[in-house]
Amino acid sequence: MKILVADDDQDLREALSEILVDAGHEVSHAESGHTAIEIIKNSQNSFDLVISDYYMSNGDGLALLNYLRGVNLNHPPFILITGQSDGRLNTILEKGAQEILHKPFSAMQILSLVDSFR
Amino acid sequence: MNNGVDLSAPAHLVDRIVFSNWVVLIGTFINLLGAQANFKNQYNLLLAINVYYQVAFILTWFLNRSRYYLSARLTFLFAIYSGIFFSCAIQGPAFQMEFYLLPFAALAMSLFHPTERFWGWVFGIISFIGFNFFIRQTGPLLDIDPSKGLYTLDDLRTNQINYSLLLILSLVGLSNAYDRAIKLVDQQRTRTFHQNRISNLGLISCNVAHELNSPLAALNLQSFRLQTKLKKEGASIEQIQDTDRILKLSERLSTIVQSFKLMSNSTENEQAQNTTLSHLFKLSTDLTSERLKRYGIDLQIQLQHPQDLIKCQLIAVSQALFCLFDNSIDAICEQPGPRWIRIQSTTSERTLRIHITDSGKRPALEITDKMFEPFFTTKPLGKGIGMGLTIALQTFKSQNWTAFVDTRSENTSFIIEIPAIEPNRTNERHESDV
Repeated sequence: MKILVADDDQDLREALSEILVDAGHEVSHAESGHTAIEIIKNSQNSFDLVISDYYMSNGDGLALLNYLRGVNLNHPPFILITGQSDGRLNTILEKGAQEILHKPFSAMQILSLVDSFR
Repeated sequence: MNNGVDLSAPAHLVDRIVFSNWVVLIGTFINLLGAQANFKNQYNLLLAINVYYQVAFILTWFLNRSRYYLSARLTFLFAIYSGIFFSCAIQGPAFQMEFYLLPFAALAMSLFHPTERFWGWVFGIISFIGFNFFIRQTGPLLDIDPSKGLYTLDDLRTNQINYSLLLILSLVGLSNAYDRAIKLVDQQRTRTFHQNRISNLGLISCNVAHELNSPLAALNLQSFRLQTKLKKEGASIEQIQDTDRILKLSERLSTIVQSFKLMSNSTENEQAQNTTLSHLFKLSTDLTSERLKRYGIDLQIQLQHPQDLIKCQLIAVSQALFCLFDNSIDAICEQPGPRWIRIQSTTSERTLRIHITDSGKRPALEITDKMFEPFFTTKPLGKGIGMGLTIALQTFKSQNWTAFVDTRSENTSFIIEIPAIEPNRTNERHESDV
């Protein structure tokens, strides 16, 4: 699968990208929502899955999701990874995110979740 | 978490203490001014004081039964001193009862206020013996004939010495009540400061937990990656086991952080959901395991039907149960002998009863009566703010559950009654799986 990972935490972004690459996926990554949007534009929305953090300093996960659903209502599937658990997360699901994964998550959790979108 | 708890009580409490203080001050001032001025309606003034004295006693009773027990003490003091003044001033036969009521009132007060018991008895006994002796020695303090309906200037002049004694009594009463009020306000200030400090610590802890989210996830992913790589490269069993330990440790850290976040979550808009009893108790006890271990407390979970489903706000109820367990740990952590906390559940028809009992001795009834009141605590300053059980009770009430202290148990025991549970007995194990 072609996966885009967006997270402003470098350690997590790299660890997540590497583990997905090890699992046989093609991974691009971005440190902010705006960078992720640029990457999607340049690739003509060819990603099979987007995994994004909620809070990022330059364009958050919601902005990225809004952009994606503005282009296509259903594609690509969107997984939100977040350490928050407030009421705003319901909005994310209403806006078209498929899953919310709460940090800190384990390797098995993220890999099995990604596999469910194959 | 608020859950409808009236957190403004302390402010009201302080207001009422100050108010009571002013009542004492103004009341005593009018009392003395009126008596000294020797108006024709002096007798009516004393009657009015007597009425206040009666009302103050009734007010004391109600305040005493409410959370404003500090105000009750002050009102009581004023009632006592008004009564003394009145009884000493008028010693006609019709008013003898008033005089004898005073020590009994003091004794009654001492029964209602466990913390004031000693001084209540001292006050009651001294006033009873002292005033009896005084009256026998001197006769009525003022030579007043109630049938005249008024005083004369001579009445007061001839009793100048006795009247001075009344003045001193009133001033001692005023001074006592004032000192007491100031002390109570100071205590309340200290408590409020401590509550703010704990609240700030809570916020800082939440931020720390959130900061740990990403590094912990990264740590877990990298450990997993390292282990996979080592397995592929045919590393030794010891090396694989080492990475396994790192993985397990990172997962344990993740569980702690997630439990902490669960406990600090807002539950304002939480929806009710079905959960099994075993899951509920796992969530509630996850964060207590370290304290239980540290104090050698044995947690015994004996659920009759652990897979029974209950519908509740899971996070709110987990937080409430955590408060109960935390309270139990605080209560028994330093007690000698075996320390244990036992969670038992029994089901009859569709009603579930949960008993949460600890090895501590059941508190006295006057304490159990107040245990669920906001800011009531028997812990020393710095150990707790007295909100845990209040929050727990409010949360259980909001789920339409009933919670109370089991007064028949020898140990400290809380009972929670949950109506309309959904039995789920398939694949059930008799032992708890928690």
